[in-house]
Amino acid sequence: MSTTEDRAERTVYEIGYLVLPSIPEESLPDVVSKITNTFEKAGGEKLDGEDPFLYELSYEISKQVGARKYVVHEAYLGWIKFELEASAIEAVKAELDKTEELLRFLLIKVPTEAGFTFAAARAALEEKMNPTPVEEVSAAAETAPEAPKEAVVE
Amino acid sequence: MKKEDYFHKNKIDYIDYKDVETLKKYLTPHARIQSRRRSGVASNHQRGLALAVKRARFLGLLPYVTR
Repeated sequence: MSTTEDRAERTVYEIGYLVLPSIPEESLPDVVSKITNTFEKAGGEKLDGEDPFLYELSYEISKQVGARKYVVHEAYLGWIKFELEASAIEAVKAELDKTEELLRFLLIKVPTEAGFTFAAARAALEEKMNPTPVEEVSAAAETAPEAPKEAVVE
Repeated sequence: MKKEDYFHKNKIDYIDYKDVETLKKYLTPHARIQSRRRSGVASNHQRGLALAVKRARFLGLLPYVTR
């Protein structure tokens, strides 16, 4: 079977996840690699993603782990986009369900060209708030009306 | 006057649930999804918008209700 045929059977998925804030920041890479392993073990390939960062949630979310109940209003938010055969996705979901560090996750199909990143959105927002002065100067120069020429009277 | 479809104008085919700043523009003060009449977006984009808002709500990026 050729590789192009293999590719055609694969679907692009995205996992958006929330990690419990009780997890120390230095252990976050371990949680991310745990998530990555779930689909790589099933033959998946990572395409894109962003590392988790602390995010204030819009509402309180709770999770029961054993006898302990976590009620949180902030969590580490991250996402990973990957390619995998559709038949293997159930196994990935089952494994993610068992991951105790995850507060919640969203596993969806996405188009390959979807390219939104939080980093780009933050940069765009900052640019909107304080536009770079260089552009302002050049824009002002372009729009500045020319000095009226004096009429030559002979 | 008819409102312009933001997603059509900016050639956005896939409305991402992570794009919270854009999604917020289509919520009412009570955090409900605006009707198509109010949002002015095309029906295919309105469906995509509703799905994206619901996904964002699930992950805690947007509220379900605001008082």
